[in-house]
Amino acid sequence: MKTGRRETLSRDWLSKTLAGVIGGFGLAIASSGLLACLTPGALDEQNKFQVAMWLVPPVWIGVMSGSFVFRSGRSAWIGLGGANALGFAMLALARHFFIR
Amino acid sequence: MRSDVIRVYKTVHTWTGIVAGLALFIAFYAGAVTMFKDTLNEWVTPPSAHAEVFPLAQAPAVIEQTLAAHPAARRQFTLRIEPAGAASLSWREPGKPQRFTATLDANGKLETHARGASNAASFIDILHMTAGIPGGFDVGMGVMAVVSLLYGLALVSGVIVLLPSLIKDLFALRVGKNLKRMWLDAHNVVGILSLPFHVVMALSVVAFGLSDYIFSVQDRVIYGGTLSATVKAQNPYYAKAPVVPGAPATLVSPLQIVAAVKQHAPEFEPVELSYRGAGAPGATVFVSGDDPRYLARSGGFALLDPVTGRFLNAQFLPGAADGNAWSAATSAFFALHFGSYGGEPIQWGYFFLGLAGAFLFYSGNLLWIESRRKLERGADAPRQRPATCFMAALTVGVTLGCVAGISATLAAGKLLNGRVADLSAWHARIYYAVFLASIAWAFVRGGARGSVELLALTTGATLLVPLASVVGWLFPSTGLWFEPAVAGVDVCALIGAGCFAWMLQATAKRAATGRQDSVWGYSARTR
Repeated sequence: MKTGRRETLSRDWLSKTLAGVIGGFGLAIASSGLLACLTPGALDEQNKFQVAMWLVPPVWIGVMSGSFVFRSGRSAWIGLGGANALGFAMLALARHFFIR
Repeated sequence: MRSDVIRVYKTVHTWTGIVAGLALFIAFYAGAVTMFKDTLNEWVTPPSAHAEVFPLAQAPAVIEQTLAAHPAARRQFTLRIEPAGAASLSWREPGKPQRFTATLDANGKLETHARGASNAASFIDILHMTAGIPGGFDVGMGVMAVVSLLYGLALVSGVIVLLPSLIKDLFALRVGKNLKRMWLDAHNVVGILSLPFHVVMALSVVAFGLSDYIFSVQDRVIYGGTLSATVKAQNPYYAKAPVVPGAPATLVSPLQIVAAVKQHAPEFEPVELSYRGAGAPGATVFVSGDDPRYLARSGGFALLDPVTGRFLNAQFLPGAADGNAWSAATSAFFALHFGSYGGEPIQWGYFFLGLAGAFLFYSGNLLWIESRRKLERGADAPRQRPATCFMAALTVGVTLGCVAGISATLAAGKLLNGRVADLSAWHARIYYAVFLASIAWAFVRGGARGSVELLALTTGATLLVPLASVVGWLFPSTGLWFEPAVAGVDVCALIGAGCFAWMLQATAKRAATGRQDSVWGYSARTR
């Protein structure tokens, strides 16, 4: 808890909020996709699609809430952008290998 | 926790709360009332409009004769199995507001009646779902989903802000000179202790309101365009029963349907059988009921083929072996929002949690105003900021207007019954008239006077509910009535009115004799 770092948490409200809303939604969709692909059973297993949809709000809100602790709006976009790239890459792999 | 992080989340909490708070107040207050939707429906239904029941054993004959004589019932009719051993049958005719019911007379001939009753309970339910936002149901739900995203942010940020002093603050309710401290303590303790309830509500409303949008995105990136077919095939409400060419479309007895359901789930109590497309190929019967032991979606239900008695979908039938883990999880998400489990204790629990939620949002606005208060320094009371005056008027106008409007429109369900042609339009007119007039009144009179006068209105409007029943009891010639089975509605409204009267007294006292360097003092300088 260094006092020197205190100044580095800039507000950048608009930028961070947008990064959280957009990046959070992307991550939520990617994680719901991973849930649908990596859990046992086919994609059209009874009501699996429901649980995959219900996973979106908690992840979305969680990421949105977290976006405010990025040091700046720029780092929020970089961090969440990277997480999204990773998430969707994993989703593409999961779809390729586990879904026929 | 770093203090700058706390400060950031405090700002997030303040602004998400102030934007979402009033819509959430309406949703929570109306939602608490909606927990007793069936009871309210009973309350607004005159004795003459109760569907006549017939012995359950007569059901096949009543159904057969109804379908023959009234083609409109083939599209959809409902057989309600209540009380035990008895049943009632009802349907709608296109373009007519009433429901029609049928029984057999002593000679076995069909008798039909039109039953016009108030839909006040459904109106309050829609108000709960949309907060009364104009533009139609979908717009209202969509807006509330976005409001719920803000609500979710407010929950997370509120907990983060409170965390460092949680242990110290949680069980402290410092009643005393520092009123802001007391309101903050109350806001914190209600928020933390009902946090799981609020998390459930925030997440589920985002899912309810935005599911169509989420599905369409998921369909593209996850399901490769196959999702709509899956959703359609697994729809637990609508399906087409398999059609066997040349086979008769005769319905089996509803007793057989009930027996099939009971055999599948012995502890489940079917209450309603809703038939679609009876007499045509592909007909279905939707069986709903309750098994309070399960976190069941809407209490639990199943879809069957009424010609063969075979199950079409039993994923949400509690206690049946059909449902998989995904269905059970889905059930839980719905049940946790609606409180459709555990019977009456949960119903009352949700009622009080809903009211506590309404208090949470109201107190949040109060704290926002209080934080921006200009304190007295020297002889003159300072001029309060325009923003706090605005927020004070808006807060009391919206919250009290909503409460008074709900009371008034519910009472109107009894008072106007049989006196106006289109009661459902009147429910909307009365609610919005009271609600909008209250907001206007609060702005004209200011927060202090407005809150006192609107509390008087709220007390009066809520008293109309038991008053209508008392008049109906003493003077049945007025056309009003008293239904002892749902006297709880009258008792609760009376208790509610008592609470509002107490608030009225306390608010008036505070406005007259409390400190005047506040928007809540009668001689506050606001302009």
